[in-house]
Amino acid sequence: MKHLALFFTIASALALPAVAVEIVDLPKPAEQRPAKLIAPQEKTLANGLRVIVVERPGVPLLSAELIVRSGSETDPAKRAGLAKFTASLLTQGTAKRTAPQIASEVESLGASLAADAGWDSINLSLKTLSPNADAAFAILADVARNPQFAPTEIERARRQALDDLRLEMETPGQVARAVAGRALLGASPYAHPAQGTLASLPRIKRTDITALHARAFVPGNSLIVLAGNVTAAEGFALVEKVFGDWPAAKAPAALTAKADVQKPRAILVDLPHAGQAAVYVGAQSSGKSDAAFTIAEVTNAVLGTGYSSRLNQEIRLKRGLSYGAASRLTSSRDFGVFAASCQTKNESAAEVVRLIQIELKRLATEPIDETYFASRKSVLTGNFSRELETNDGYLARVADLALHDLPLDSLSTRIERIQGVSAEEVRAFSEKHLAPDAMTVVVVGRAKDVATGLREVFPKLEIIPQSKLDLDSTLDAKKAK
Amino acid sequence: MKALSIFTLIAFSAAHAEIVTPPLAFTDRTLANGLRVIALEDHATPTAAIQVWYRVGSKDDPAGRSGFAHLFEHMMFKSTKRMPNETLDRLTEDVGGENNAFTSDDVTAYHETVPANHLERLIWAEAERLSSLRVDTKNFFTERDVVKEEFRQSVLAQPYGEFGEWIPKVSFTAHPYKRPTIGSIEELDASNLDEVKSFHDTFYRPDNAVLVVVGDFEPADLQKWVDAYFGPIPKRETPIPRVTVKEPLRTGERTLRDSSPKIPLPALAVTYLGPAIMSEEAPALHILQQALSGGESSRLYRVLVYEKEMAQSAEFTADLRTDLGLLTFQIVLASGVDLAKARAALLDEVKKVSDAPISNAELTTAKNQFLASQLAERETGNGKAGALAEAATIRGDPALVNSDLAKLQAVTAEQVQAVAKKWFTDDNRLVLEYTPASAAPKGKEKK
Repeated sequence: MKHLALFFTIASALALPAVAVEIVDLPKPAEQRPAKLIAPQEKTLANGLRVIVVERPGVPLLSAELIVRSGSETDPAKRAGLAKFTASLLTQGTAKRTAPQIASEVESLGASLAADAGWDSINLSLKTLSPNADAAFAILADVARNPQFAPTEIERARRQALDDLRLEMETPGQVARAVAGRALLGASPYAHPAQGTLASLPRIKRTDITALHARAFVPGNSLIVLAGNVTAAEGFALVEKVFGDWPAAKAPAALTAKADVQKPRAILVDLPHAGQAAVYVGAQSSGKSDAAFTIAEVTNAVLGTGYSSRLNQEIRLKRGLSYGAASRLTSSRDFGVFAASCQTKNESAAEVVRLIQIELKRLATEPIDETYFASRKSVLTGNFSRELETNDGYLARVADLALHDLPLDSLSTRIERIQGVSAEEVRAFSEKHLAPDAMTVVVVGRAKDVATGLREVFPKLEIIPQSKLDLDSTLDAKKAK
Repeated sequence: MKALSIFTLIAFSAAHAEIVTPPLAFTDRTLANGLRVIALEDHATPTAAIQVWYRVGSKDDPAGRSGFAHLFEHMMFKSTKRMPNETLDRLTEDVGGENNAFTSDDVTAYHETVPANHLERLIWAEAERLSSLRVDTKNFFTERDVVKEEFRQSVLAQPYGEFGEWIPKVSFTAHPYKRPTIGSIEELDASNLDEVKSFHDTFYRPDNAVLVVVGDFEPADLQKWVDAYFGPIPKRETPIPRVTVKEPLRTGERTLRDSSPKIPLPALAVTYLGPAIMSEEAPALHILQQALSGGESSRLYRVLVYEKEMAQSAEFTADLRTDLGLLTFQIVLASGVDLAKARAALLDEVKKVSDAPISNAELTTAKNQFLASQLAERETGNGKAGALAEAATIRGDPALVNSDLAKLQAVTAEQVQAVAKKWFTDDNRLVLEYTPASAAPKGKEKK
């Protein structure tokens, strides 16, 4: 039986800016037709599990994500990687099914089931043909509730995770992100490499894993989001059937994540065979609950989202120094990281760092051209509208709001909020949070080609050989030597 | 013009469900100048997806200019007679749309998604860059530097990037498929602006292109715009140059070895020449790829990664192209595993799939995975447009999008075994062994 989905129109989507280019013979755009949003529907089961359904009838597919609100930020000291490692073991055997049986059963349904941890959550992500939802949900619940964490599986997964890390440590961009996390966030629970380190993974014991599972995987600490070809009533029933008898238990105390503000540093990691240098320039920034978060997003859009962002214009389009330069805002509820990054040939790493600094300064000091400002907002609103064309895109947006305790109806005001940000707010935000002197800079590349130029910009440049990197510590350069 | 109204019914055993995939009810016509125009009206969201595919790819790179077709793709975002540089971004990104392009061995494809009220402008702009391209020297040099950075990012900065380039270089001996699409720094450096003009003249012509539009439009409006903007582009009378080189059959197993200081773990590839994409064997090879390499229930993952713990990753791809295909097994070894043992274990799996049919469970899983991925592809206008464009440009018939799935569902386990047995022969085998070099740089970075 079908319900009518609730639609409401995004009125402000009509207010897209006009194109500024004056081109002979270019036809004028017609009148914009409004897009529709689907209001998520939700209920909370008796055991405390929050269930949210986005009805998207039509294509016979269903996506679902079980979100357990304890992620890599809960990794104990010396146990970096515990949440991701635990997540990877969920699908490797339950009381009823071996790892190969889980894979075979899921995939035979035309489904996929993936487990991973992020900051703030461990996620089990299911995609299935909607007529097979019953069978697929039974497996989803089994791996969430009854994982065995067999010692043979733990050791197998540990060997795999260590090999994965060995590859990552040879990839400039991945090394840069890991080092930047440490350098920017110090002793914060968000500072360590979420995938663990070659030293930390061997220290993780089975009891660490079972304790995390017992503590975190309880209904009151979890939520599940469905998006696809089900009605809300059908979705609630699917969840009730497999999670309704999940015993209620007290949720672990929420982590109070305080930012551990670090002094800005400039670090060069020497990767002698790097075929290109990875450049990363970042600072701490707004969390998703912050009133200024939309301003941070629009600032990010001006600086580094899309092809015509300022960074991409200066670094790629004008100078051909990179395949693409961008900035990103990675935020949890209470704080985030704002970072510009790109890859360039080793010889031009210092020049790229300088160009990023110039753009940061310009953001904080110069007014933004109105037409350009409007076009950057359109990038954000356009990306948002396209995300909502797929089950997975819708699910990701709704899950993000729910995980961070934000109202679900803020989906319907997102475009309006973006349009409401002023250029002066962006300037003031940049001045406060993105001053070039306050940014931490990490370059991973061939030191013999990078060091001289970079030292001209940063006389106090710290150089750490990749082979001496200790990501379990707060990166004391002296200790590394 | 034709419209299709059949429904594909797929019954599958795993969960006794029946799934209906509605056919894409597109229209199809060819203008007097040879441009093929495929349109699919779809009012699900107020957007339009536009794709223009050209039958030119890296196999058509000029001699000594490996990577040129892809470099040229970048130049198509530069100025034309009436558009300044990057106008495509003004017409897409600035109004909440997007654009991109890709180059493969056989085709170059340009695609945009825009709010539907901007569709007419994109039809105009695509016609404009098909009919005139006016790149200047400065733009050419800057964009060539961008492509060199793309090469460094996708090849040099990846531990196994150069290994990935080595595979086609030695898997083909005569056919230009041996040239990696991204090319090389030296041959990119050798290119010049005159070659850009000549490449546009040679390959960017209406009878070498397919335009696909999917989305929220009135068909009469769309066809009116197509006639107004693409219609006046003159028909060309000269033949389009085509690659006619035939790749000789392989005549005996060979093993090649190389090393790199960038890799922490050895890698192994085994390649076989395979059939062209239009072959009747294609559906069976797609099922074979899924059974060997799709997900954690697939054979290579289960045996080599999970059970024997010999591989950090293990993949098989049946890359079928216009002229011929390449069937490639590729594994990165797990730490401490002996290369000869890993090679023997991989070849054992190759033999097994040739000696006996896959199980019913493997067959069903492969078919259901294809069904799910086709449905996911069709969630968006851009996905539907890409499917239509691929079928029309590479396989000559957009209607194949409505019969592909039924063909896959009809494949038997015996047919899968038959294609494995036919192509995975000793004589058709090339083995590539790639090992970590000592830490000291040796000067020779590339093969």
